[in-house]
Amino acid sequence: MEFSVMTIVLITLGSMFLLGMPIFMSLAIASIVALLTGGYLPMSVIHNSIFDGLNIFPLLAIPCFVIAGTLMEYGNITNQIINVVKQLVGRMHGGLGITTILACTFFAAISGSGPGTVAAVGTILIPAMVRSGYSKDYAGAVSSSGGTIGLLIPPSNPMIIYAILGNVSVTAMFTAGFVPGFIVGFAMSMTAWLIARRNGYQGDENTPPFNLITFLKTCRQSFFSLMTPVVILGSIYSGLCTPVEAAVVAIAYALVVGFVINRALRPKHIYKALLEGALLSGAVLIIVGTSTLFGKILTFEQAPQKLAAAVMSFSTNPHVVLLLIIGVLIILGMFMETLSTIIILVPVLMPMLKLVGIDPVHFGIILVVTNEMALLTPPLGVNLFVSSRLAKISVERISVAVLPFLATLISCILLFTFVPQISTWLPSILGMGN
Amino acid sequence: MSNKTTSIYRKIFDNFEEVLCVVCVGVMVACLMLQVGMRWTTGSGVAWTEELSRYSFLWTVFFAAILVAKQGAHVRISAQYLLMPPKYRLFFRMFTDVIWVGFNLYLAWISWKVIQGGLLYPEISPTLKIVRGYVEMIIPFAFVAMSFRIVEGYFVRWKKGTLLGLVQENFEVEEK
Repeated sequence: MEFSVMTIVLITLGSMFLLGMPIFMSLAIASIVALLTGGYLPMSVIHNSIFDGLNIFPLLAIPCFVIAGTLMEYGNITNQIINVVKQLVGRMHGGLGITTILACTFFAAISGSGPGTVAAVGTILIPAMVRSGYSKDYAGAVSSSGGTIGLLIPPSNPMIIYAILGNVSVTAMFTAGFVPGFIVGFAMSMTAWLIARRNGYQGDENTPPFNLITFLKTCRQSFFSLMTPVVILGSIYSGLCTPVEAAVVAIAYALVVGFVINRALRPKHIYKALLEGALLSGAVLIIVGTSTLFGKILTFEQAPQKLAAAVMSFSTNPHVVLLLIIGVLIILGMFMETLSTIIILVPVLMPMLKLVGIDPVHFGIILVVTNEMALLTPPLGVNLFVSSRLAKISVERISVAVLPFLATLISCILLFTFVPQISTWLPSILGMGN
Repeated sequence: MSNKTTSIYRKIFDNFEEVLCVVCVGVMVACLMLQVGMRWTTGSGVAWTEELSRYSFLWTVFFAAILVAKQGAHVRISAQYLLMPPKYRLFFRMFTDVIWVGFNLYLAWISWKVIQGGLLYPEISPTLKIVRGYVEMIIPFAFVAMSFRIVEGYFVRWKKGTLLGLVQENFEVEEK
């Protein structure tokens, strides 16, 4: 029996994943096997696509945002932001839970990564919650859920990758994420509040009653930290900076505030932050290189067209198609890391979206929100790992405690799917839609 | 004296990829800062910074990929390993790594040949005026070095007798 090249490619890729081969190498191996069996492209395509796939300027924003986020943690900026938020909501039922979510939302506007946000905010707030008598399960679940908001609120690394691969403007994606980001943040805070009320978690006694004067005082003391998101986002939206330049401005700002104003940064922190940015590039962005190669093979085999035809023979209703994709993404998300899913799927899905008539910005938002779930679903849910280590309880227990937050996320996903205006409204009034 | 020098070499050898990727990412950030700074102050950017930052980014990715391979932290799907006893895990892990190393070397060889072919008619980059082939050398180098680090890792664990630890450490708690 003769197998088509495409079948061989998929079998190879599947067995490599199953063997636990690193994802970037699985993609390379599947492509090499395709080239050896198909023999329709010169082998030099391997070298050239890996190089060209990474030789893309906007990708530089990603390590830069990671470096900026790490510097802000060392430079005490994160800490100050948490303090301000705590004064606002700390005394409500489950006040520290809501503080966690809000602080994550705020911090998300600085950092581009989900697990990074969990680590930054959770390190400070999980011990505080446990001390105030909240269960460890709740503390861990709230922090891991709050950390997902970072993907939606700009700047966001998954959005940059999506925009590059899907040929959408990065700024348009960043603008589109704003409203959905706040909706998810609000919904998560409500969930945190409801659970806290049911379990009778009190507010934080260490937080003094809200006092406008002390609040304004703290705001003034932390003024430069609070301005961070304004500086980063402002420079992008005003058109003063491209996302890459904004990421560099963020680094410069973090250095100035950390060294001169907060005086918390040390030179060794710079090395650590640079290493952090480099490590993320080596672990995740290398997948962009080999997936460019894999994408060439898929294009040559006309895989996107075939997939589109198969899906469209099933249904051409955009909602049904979107729901199908969401289903696939949720299942994939249990096993794969966020950026990898986006890198592998976007080139395959994009042609289909155009045929069905789904707005690429709208789809981008849904893709990112669905990927937020991937951070929270075991067996591979990176946010759960980070907060399980911080809260010192097992991943299984957090996975159960996180279920109400997953339900909240699913309702948000459905809302965004059926009301595309939530995602497309802001970019279109700012003249960035298509 | 000679002992001391070998230990210095040893140190360089053990950490070269970490230092190099930090240097590369540092050069990248510095270039970008220069670019933004010049554009804001003088109104026009410096042409070569864009190219140099892109190339240092590329080198960062590949040097860091070697480092990540050394740490065993490349993104992979590993949940299925939890379903089997450690001895089987180790077998499959080694089997996978053998395939990995094999394809690494094959890929490095192909990419080396492509670069050699390209060097016959060298392509000069537009602003830095360097031969693109030399920048591309990082690819075969990284794939060979990665293979070396994987094999080295096994050797070190085998000598220490901690081979099973490779699959027993809480690898569900993976650091990103």
